[in-house]
Amino acid sequence: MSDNPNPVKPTMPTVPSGNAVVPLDAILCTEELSRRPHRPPDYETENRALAALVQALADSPQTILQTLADTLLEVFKADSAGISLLTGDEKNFYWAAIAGDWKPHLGGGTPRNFGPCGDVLDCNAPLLFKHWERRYSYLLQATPLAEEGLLVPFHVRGKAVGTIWTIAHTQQRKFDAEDLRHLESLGRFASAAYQTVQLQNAEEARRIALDLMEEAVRSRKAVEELNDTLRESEERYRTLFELGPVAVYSCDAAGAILNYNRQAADLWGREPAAGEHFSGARRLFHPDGSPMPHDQCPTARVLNGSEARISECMIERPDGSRLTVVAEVRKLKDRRGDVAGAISCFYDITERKRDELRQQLLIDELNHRVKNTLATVQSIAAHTLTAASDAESRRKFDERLIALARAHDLVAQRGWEGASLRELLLQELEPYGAGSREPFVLAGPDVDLRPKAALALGLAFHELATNAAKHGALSAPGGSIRVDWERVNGSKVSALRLKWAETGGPAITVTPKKSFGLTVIERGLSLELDGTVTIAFDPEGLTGIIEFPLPTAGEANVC
Amino acid sequence: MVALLAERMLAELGCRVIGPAARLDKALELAERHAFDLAILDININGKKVYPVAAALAARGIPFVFTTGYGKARVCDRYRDRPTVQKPYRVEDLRTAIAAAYGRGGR
Repeated sequence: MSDNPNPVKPTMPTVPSGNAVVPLDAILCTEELSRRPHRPPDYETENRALAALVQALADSPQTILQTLADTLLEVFKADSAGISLLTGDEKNFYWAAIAGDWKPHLGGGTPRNFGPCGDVLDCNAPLLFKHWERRYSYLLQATPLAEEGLLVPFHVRGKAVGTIWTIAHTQQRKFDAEDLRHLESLGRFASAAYQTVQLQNAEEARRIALDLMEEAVRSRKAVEELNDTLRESEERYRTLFELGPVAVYSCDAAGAILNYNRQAADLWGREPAAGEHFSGARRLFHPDGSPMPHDQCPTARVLNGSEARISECMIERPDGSRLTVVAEVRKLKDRRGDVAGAISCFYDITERKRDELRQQLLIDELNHRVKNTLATVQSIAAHTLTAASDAESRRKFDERLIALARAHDLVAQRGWEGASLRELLLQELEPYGAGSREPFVLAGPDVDLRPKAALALGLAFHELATNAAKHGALSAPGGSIRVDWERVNGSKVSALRLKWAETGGPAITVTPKKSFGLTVIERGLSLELDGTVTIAFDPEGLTGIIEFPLPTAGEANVC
Repeated sequence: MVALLAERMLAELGCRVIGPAARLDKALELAERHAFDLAILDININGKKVYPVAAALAARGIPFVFTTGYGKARVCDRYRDRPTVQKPYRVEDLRTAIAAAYGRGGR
């Protein structure tokens, strides 16, 4: 009721002081109503208007007072009409609804103790005013001025709460007894409408309260549901936490252990006391056996800012036994991104380490024995070929034996699983400068050889290099050897094709007789590898082409 | 047989050979009591590691060369910088290793 766009408002004027006030009687002419000729009652129109008002009250109680003002204006053919309501503190009336010329004054009002509405309540009777601004000068601002104003009080449970009124701004319209009767009738409606509005407000307040309550219930429900979800989630993670086989514990940012699962306690061999930091283990060691202080364990390192990583360490249990574990630690961060703690997962790899060690020892032992056997064979040869004329044969024999031992080393390094072709070439040709000097170009993809192929090829490369050093590319300055290889994918198996090509050695004019070593390569190697070996003497130097099948993926590396 | 070959090679290089010792205690006794210029130590001596002998020699300042069938990586950290030859080896390999043993501060 305060959205009046017009600033002209005789709002809540104060009572003037002094005694030059026009007396109330001077502005009243109520008794004239009965003397004036009056029109006959028009009940039909009156009923129609009332019916429309009741409908409006039902449809839109919020605006019923304004609808009533509009109706007053229309049925009374007045210039202005409205409803004034007593404020809660009963000090003022405010104009709750206005229609007609005074509409701009909506929201304005008059003091309870010095104004027409107050007079009506004081008399507890309808009053007809004439130029009330003569007494109530503040109404001079309420333009256009009122020629006549007819006011009727209305009551709720016997208490006057407001007035309804019609105003004529000109002398054309004179209110009469019929107007009074009709206005009194509508006054009763105003009372009902007022109560409905009050009720409506109460209802609205109740509805708002209900809405708020519902909202509160809804949010409490939402919180409960969230809690349920959290509980379920917590339950899920707790189960994950407890389920084996991984040991898990968590700690806060300072490293104090918060919780741990059964597996962790099993591996530690103890239950850490409250307030223990970084690890529940009694003592920790590095994989090499040196002591690892708790504040340098993987969890402590991660909390101190190291990148999360997987690391091995040894746990010593109270009974003195030691376990090797692999630990993976992750930082936990809070909402602000600060480190809030860490989670460490670890599992026992003692058995695996033991197996690995055992296997390594076996391989070492095998290697040691094979090498010792080769050395024994070497010794036998040395003690057999004792004549001075045997010296050259002994030297060749030793070198072949050593070439075989080198190939063997390479295979042993990889646990007898195979050897890299490039590494084999580098190793066998190293005495002739491969890897450090010019004469060799080695070009080809990474190829893993089975142990059997590696041993056979090791000997063959030794033989070829020895031959090159004696007769071929390596016997002359500027000579070089190029070794190219590639995988050749056949329909069923893939194969390796390797070419040994010498250039820059002494020119070959007459095809020389193949040495014993080369013959052995051609025949022996092709049998060993189940492949083909071709050695040819081109004018620029010796070429050897070796082709043999490679093991397919998944095929066991049978020696 | 292997020791005999080493003996033969050392003779070829002009050395006079004391030993060989086939057992660790015998080797230790030689290392602690006898006068000689250089020792050839097989890492594995009748199933035992030869390192106590190496320690005794090092204490006396006598140079030594390891021979092994295990591969260079298996020599223990403390002696990893000592000359080591892989079995089987040539007399030239032994000569190079002996020279290296003298070169690293021995006599």
